[in-house]
Amino acid sequence: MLDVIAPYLGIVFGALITLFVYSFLWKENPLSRAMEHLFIGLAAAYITGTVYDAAMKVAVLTPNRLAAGNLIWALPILIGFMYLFFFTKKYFWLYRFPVSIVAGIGVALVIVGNIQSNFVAQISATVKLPLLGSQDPAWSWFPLDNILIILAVLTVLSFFFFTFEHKGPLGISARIGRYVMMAAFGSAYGFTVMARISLLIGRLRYLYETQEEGFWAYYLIPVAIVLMIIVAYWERTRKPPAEVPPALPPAVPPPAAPPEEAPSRKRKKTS
Amino acid sequence: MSTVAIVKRYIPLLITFIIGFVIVLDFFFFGPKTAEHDAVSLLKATVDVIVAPAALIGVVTLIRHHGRILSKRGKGWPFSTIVILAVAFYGLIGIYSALSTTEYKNLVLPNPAFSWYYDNAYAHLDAAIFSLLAFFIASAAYRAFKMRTVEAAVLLVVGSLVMLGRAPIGGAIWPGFTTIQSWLMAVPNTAGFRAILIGVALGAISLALRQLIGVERGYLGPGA
Amino acid sequence: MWQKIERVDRRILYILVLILVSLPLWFPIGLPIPVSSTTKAFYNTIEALPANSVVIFSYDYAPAAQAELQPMAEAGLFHAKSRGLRSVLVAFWPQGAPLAVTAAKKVYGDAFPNVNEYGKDIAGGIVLIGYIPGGAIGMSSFASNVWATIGVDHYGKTFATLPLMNRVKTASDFGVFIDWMAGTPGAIQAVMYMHGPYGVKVGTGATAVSIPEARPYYSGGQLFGLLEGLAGASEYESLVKGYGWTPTLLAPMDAQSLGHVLIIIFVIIGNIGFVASKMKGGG
Repeated sequence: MLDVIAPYLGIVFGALITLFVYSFLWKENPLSRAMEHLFIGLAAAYITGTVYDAAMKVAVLTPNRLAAGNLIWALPILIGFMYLFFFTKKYFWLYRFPVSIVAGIGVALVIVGNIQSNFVAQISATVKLPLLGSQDPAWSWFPLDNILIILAVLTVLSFFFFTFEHKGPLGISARIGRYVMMAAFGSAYGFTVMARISLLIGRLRYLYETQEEGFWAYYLIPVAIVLMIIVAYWERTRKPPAEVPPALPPAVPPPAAPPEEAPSRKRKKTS
Repeated sequence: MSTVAIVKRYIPLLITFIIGFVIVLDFFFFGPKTAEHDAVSLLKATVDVIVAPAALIGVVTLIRHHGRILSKRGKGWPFSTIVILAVAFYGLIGIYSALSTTEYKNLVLPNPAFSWYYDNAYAHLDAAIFSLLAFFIASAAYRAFKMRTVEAAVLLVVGSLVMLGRAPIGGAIWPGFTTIQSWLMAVPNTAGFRAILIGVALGAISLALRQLIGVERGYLGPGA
Repeated sequence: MWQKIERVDRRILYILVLILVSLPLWFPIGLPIPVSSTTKAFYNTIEALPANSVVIFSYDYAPAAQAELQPMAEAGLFHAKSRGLRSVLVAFWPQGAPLAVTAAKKVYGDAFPNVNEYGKDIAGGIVLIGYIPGGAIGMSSFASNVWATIGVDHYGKTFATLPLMNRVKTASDFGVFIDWMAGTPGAIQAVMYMHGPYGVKVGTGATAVSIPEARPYYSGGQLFGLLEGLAGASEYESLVKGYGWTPTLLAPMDAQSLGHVLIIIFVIIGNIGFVASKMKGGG
C-alpha cells in the first residue's frame, strides 16, 4: 500500500512545502518558520548519513580495508572522530590533530593548485594572446579584443598595487581598472539575476507540471491558502502569553543601624 | 618548552608541515606511476576518511543549541522541537536503512526509504528556500540598485545589457544585444575576473605558505 | 508622486514577478534560442570523443541548483549514452549523489541500476560511484588514484565486479571530466587538480552565478566548454535534440526572458524615481 500512496504523498509534501515556504513573502508566519526549521533538521540528519556512508565506502567496504580484516583502517575513522573534542574544554587540544592533518593537505593543494592554474596559466593565457584578434568569429571585424584584454588585466592589477600612491599614470591606470572591474561585476550581477529567476522557474515548473494519475501539484494551492488563513487567524486571535512579571530581586533587609559608639574611655577635659 | 606545550601546540604544526611538504613534493617531483606517488595517493584517501566526520561538528552544535532552547522552553521552542524531531525521525530512517539492507552493503544513501525523504522533502525544502531569492533580487533591483556614482552606473548598464542579451528576448528584439552580451563576457568580464584571480591566487599562496610553516596558527583554534 | 512609486509595497513587486514568470509557463511565447559559442564548444568536444571514451560526470550541486543543472546533467548523460560513450557518475558534494541517481533513472529508465549497461565496458556503459568525501582533497585523491580513493560504487559493489572500472584507474584514463557545478568543490578545483597536473580535459555546466568567474578558465583553454545556467541548458538541449532528446526548456526560457525584462524595468523605474527625488530635493 505504501508503494501506491507514496507518489501522491510525495506530491502533497512537495507542493505544500513549496507553498508554505512562499508564504514567507506575504508575511513571516509559523508555517514558513516551521519549514525552515524542518529543513535544518533534515539537512543535519542527511549529512550524518553521508558521513556514515563515506566512512563505510572508503574505509570499510573498499577491498583490503576494514571489511577484509585490515584493522589499521579503523585509525582514520578514530582520528576523524577526534573532531568532536571541539566541544570539550579539557581535551580541546585533541581536536587539533585531525585539523592539522587535513590542513596540511589542504594548504599544499592550495599552493600547487593556485600556482599552476590560477597564476601561471592565467598570466600565460594573457601574454600568449596575439595583439590583433577577436574573441569570437561573430565580431571578427573588430580585432582589438586581445589588446583590450591585455590592457584591462594590467589596469585591474594596477588597482590592487598599493605599494605606491595611486597618482599620475598609476592613478589613471587604477581608475580604468576600477571601471573594468565594475563592468565585470555588472556581468556577475546580470548572471546572478538569471540564476535567481531560474530557481523560481524550477519551483513553478514543479507546481504546474507535476502530476500523478491526474493528481496535479497545483491542486494543493487552494489547500495551502486555506491552511495559511487558518494559521493567520489563529495567530491573530490567540492570547499572547501572560506577561510574567520580571523576577524581583530578593528582599534586602534594611541596613542595620551603625552600632552606637562605645563611650570613649578618655576622660573628658573639664574646664 | 614543556612537554605539554610540545604535544598540544607544536606537534600539530609539525604534522601540518610534514604532510603539506610531502604533497608539494609529490606534485613537483614524484612521477605518476611510482611507489612514492602511490603512497601519497593512499595518504590522500586516508585523509578523505578523516575529514568526513568534520560535518558532525555542525550537527552536534545544532542539536545542542535547539536542545537547550527546548529544555528551557526558550523563545521559539516549538520550532526547536521541529528541528529535534526532524533530526530524530530522519536519523531513525537512516539507522533503519543501514541495518535493513544487506543488498546495499548496509549503506544508507541507496536505500529507497532514505532516498524517498530526500527526494520528496529535503530537495523541495532546499529548492523552495533558495528560490525565494528571485523575489528578493527583484525587490533589491527596484529599491537598492541606484546609480549614485559613475561606477554604479557602469555596473547597472553592463548588468542590464548582459541580462537582455543572455535571454532569448534580447536576440528577438535586436540581434546586436546577443553580440554585445557575448563581447562583454569575453572581454571586460574575462579580463576583470582574470586579474582578480591572479591577485587572489597570490594572496592564497602566501597565506597557505604561512600556514604550512606555522606562522599562521588560527586554524588550530584558540591557544595555538 | 515619485516618492510613492519608490516606496511601493514589496509584495506588489513579488506578485508582479510571480505573474510575469508564470504566464509563459502556461502560454509559451516560442522565442528562438540562439546557441552560444561556449555551448557549441562543449557539444563539439563531446562529439569529437572516440566512441569508447570514458566520461566522468561530477554532480557537484544541491537541490537548490537543481532547476538549472538537472536538465543539462540529464541531457549530457543522454548525449554520452547516445554516442556510445562510457559514463562514470561521481559527486563531491554530499547532496549530489541522489541527483546523479535521478539523472541516471531519467536516461536509463526506472530500473537503474538493474540495467544491462551497468558496470559493463560496452556502448552506453555506466557506473555510479556516488559521493566521494573530502571535497577538493577528494577530487585530488580521485585524480591520483581512483581505486585507492574509493573501491566501491554507490550501491556497495566493488570495482572488481564492474568491468568498466578496469579502465578507470587515474585521471589519465578520463576521456573528459564534466563538472555540473554550483560552487566549491567544482570545475575550478577540477581544473586545478585534474587539468593542471594530468592534462585532463575539463568542461562544466554551471549555475549562472558561477559563470563570470569560470569565463577566464574557458578563455585560457583550461575549460573546453561552458554551459551557462538555464540558458546554456536550453541551448545544449536543442543541440542534443538530434539524438532524440525532447527539449523541455522552451517555455522556461520564455519565462526567463520576461523575468529579465521585468528586473530591467524595475531598475529603470527605481532609478528614475531616485533621480527625480534628487532633482526635486536639489532644486
